Amino acid sequence: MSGIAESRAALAHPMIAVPTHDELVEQLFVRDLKLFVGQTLEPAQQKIAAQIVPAIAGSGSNSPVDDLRHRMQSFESFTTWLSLKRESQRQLWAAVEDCVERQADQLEALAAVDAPKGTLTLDPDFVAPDYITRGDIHLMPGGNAHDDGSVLQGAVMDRGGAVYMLGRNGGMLNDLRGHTAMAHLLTVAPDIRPIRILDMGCGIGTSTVPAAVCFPEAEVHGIDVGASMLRYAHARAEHLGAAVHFSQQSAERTSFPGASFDVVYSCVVLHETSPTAAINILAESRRLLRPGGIAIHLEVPLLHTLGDIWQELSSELEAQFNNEPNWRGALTADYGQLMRAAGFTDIRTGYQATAFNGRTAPRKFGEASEGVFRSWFVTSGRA
Amino acid sequence: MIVSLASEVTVLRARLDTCERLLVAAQVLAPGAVDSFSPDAAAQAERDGLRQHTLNKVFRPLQEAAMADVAAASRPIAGKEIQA
Repeated sequence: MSGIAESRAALAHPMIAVPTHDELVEQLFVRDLKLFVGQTLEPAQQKIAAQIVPAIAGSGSNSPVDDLRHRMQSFESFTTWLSLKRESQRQLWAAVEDCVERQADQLEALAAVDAPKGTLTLDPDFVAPDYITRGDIHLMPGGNAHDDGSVLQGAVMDRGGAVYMLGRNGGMLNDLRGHTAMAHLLTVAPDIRPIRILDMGCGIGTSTVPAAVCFPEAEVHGIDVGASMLRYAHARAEHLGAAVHFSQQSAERTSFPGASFDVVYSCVVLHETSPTAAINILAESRRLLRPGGIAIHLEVPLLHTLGDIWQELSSELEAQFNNEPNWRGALTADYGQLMRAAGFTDIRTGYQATAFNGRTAPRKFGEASEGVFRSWFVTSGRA
Repeated sequence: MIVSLASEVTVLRARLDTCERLLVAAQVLAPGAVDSFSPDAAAQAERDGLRQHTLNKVFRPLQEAAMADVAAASRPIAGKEIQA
């Protein structure tokens, strides 16, 4: 298993909370438990589903996924699997929170960066959208907008995100999605030299720093709804040597003037919003682009590409048991149509191969998903 | 069952803590040596194996129950019940 190891320095960056011996072993245990849930218990459920699906497929049902779920609920192991799935995620945050809280003072001291290259602009009057505050996304206690004036919620998200991804998204840097978005940009516009780039819904900046890495001459901005996450994002980016301007704003309607960016992108943001918000975010990304500018929105694989009823149910259960507010909305949308409605031209929808470095990665974009984590759904368009 | 297990783990942890403190007092271990321990690749692989072994052992009943359900779902009679 790559990505997260007990070796202290493995893929870490200076801002990440460093666990003690016991905290790290506990986090690794949770990671392994999540793998057990996903790779040992879930395949048994898939086998049960395989016995049931032919009857459903032959029934002419209009809601085969619901039917499958209903029938599977008669098996005790189905509900056990779901309980353990939920509990392993709760344990993940508990294991990470202890680790972060213990070193709160050190993290605050690290966050006080002298002569930063980037900036941080918080809005004390900002009200987070309902879809953010209604439930704790990914079960992270307090949710994405939680703020107690510290960097701690950001620190929890960073460490938790790396463990949650099981090391499959760039280990402790957790940055493969940002690099994949940049790889897509360079696939559709190989010679582009953007002057201003915006990452919408940047969280702790894992997807933002890759833009600064791939385009060191560009002025890179990141916006998000959570003040603590942004404070942490700012410190994290500075420690990684990236100049990024973070500000607290809703991606649905920003304070930036129209036509002020060359590239606007988002990474796995739309499925954490709402159907209406997703449309607003696409429209805002269009408004912010200069003529000829490019918008990119990256997501997890769309549901219809998953191939069968079981995969679709499994994906939906992941959303419901892990608080993903707009999973079905974002993953069943017709992005070609939505991008056209938002006023884009030269629209593309498809799958971009996962990139470790957006600048040097193979420029591989096609219609078919190469599977979860191996490629990401991307829609892009020009203003 | 869980209460007994929690009790055992608490005792085990206290005993381990005692060992560590005695080893530090006897200058066998430096203070903080356990917390700053960084395994090499071979030790890491062994520790990954140990963790995996424990996890599989403790959660084996869940896997077995799931496999029993797979078998039940595969039997024609059960299949009929499911379809009813």
